[in-house]
Amino acid sequence: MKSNYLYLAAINLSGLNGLSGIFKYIIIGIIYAIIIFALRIMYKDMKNGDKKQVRPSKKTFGLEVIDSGMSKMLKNGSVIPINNEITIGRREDNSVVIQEGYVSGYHARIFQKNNSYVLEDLGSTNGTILNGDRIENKVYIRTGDELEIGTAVFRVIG
Amino acid sequence: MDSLTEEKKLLRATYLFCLISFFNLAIIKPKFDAGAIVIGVVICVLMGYAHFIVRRFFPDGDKYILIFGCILSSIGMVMIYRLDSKIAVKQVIWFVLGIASFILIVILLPELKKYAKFKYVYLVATLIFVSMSTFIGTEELGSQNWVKFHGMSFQPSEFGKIFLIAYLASALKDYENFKQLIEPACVVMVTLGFMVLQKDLGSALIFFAIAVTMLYIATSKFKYVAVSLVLFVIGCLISYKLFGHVRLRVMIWKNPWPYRSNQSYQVVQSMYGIAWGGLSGTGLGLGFPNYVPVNIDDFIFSAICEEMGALVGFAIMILSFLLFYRCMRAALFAEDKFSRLLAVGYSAMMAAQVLVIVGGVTNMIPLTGITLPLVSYGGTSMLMTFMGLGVLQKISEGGR
Repeated sequence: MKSNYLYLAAINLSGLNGLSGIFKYIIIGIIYAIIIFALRIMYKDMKNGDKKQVRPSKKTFGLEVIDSGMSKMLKNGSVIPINNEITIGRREDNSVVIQEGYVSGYHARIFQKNNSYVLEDLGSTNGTILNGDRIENKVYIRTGDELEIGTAVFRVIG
Repeated sequence: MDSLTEEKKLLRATYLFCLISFFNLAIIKPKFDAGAIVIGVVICVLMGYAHFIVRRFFPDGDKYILIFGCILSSIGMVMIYRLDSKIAVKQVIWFVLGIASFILIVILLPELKKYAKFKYVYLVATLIFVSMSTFIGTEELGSQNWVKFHGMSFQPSEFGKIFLIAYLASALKDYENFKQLIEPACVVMVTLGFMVLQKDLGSALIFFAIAVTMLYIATSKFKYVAVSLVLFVIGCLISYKLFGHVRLRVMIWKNPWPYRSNQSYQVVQSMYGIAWGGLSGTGLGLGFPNYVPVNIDDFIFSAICEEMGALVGFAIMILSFLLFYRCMRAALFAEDKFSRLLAVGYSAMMAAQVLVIVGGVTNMIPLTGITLPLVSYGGTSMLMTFMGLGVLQKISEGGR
């Protein structure tokens, strides 16, 4: 406790009392400015609802059709661009429709996560094959990978 | 305006706060204190670097969790430096470790779903950590919740909290009927029992708050909450009758003034401090926060109110609430029930801690010594909170 008094005496001598008194208002001002910024950001966020913001991706990513297999809708050499998310399957409401018996209704999905893309098998009967191996659930894909869905073969380009 | 410029604006305001406060701390010393400026710059660089990593490599996650965490810890470090500059250096080291563990968790942790099945591992870990200090703990400041180990001391209940949340999340995720609730209820009761035995009433309160919140989110039935509240009241009455330390706390809470020179010295000094500071505070270095014991730890809130003003005290609560909101928002994007319950549990933990300790130092509820998350000095608490935030950051990325 004694050192405390000495310390306070030192402050009084140094004559900087007034400065701390001014600084305290500046500090309070900055903290409330932070809170107001933050509240404005939160307000905008709530106005957006619970939808996640879709970021425009800088990298372009796509699938090149190498072998269209039994399907008549794909053409060799054509390119399917991937923007955020595509789904592959036999049903009409997929973004890439492959009409052949070896492909399940909703077969696979490719989506963006952070800065890379993820291939997910949606529980298909005949599986999704990446570079010769059947995948389990989810894997990251890179440029140059080859994936087989049914009899169709794609290459990842980017 | 896109989200990056907004984040940068918030960060820039935080840098400004940090630099001005540390400049203020440097000039109040009799001799200009260059160390304060160095610490301020180090904290700013760290915050900027952590934000850069998260933004560059994990853009899908929620960046505001980290920013709010950094703002709160910088307010804490300013106050700790004012009270004791040597301890503040230690706190900066803990802050570095906390940020490092945050980033490591975000990078290394694979999908959380995989961890849902280790229910009994979490159960055993919870019981080990909560019972540890009953057997090998040392008593400090009236509660037996520290374990000394080769010269290092830590609070096992902090680890116990993390594991209890993980256990409850994996136990409650497939809730269907009442029978499944019996086992978690027993575990929670045993943990609460240990906490009361260790005289760590604050932790007991937080464990209870976490358990009830997670129970309500998992089952969405109010009757279970009502039942647990009734059980809690009964438990309180029993421990009031059985344990002297519980009676002492309640006695101080009801009327602290007759015992102000011994049993209730801490809380009375804390109230004097808050009242002396008033709305805008005395200014850094001009108050008398050293009269309050343990002012870097449990009573940092009253030290902040005294020197920086009640307005900054309110600001800490608002910022904690915003952090809580961001964490609960992560629960919305969680892909499975385990991660959702985990996110709810961690955010409830932080909110409960703020309410319990702020209520305690202002004598609104019986005082129980726990740390104010991120603001107080404390290695275990800082590390654990940042690790919890890392898990929340991971959850906020969502699985889609």
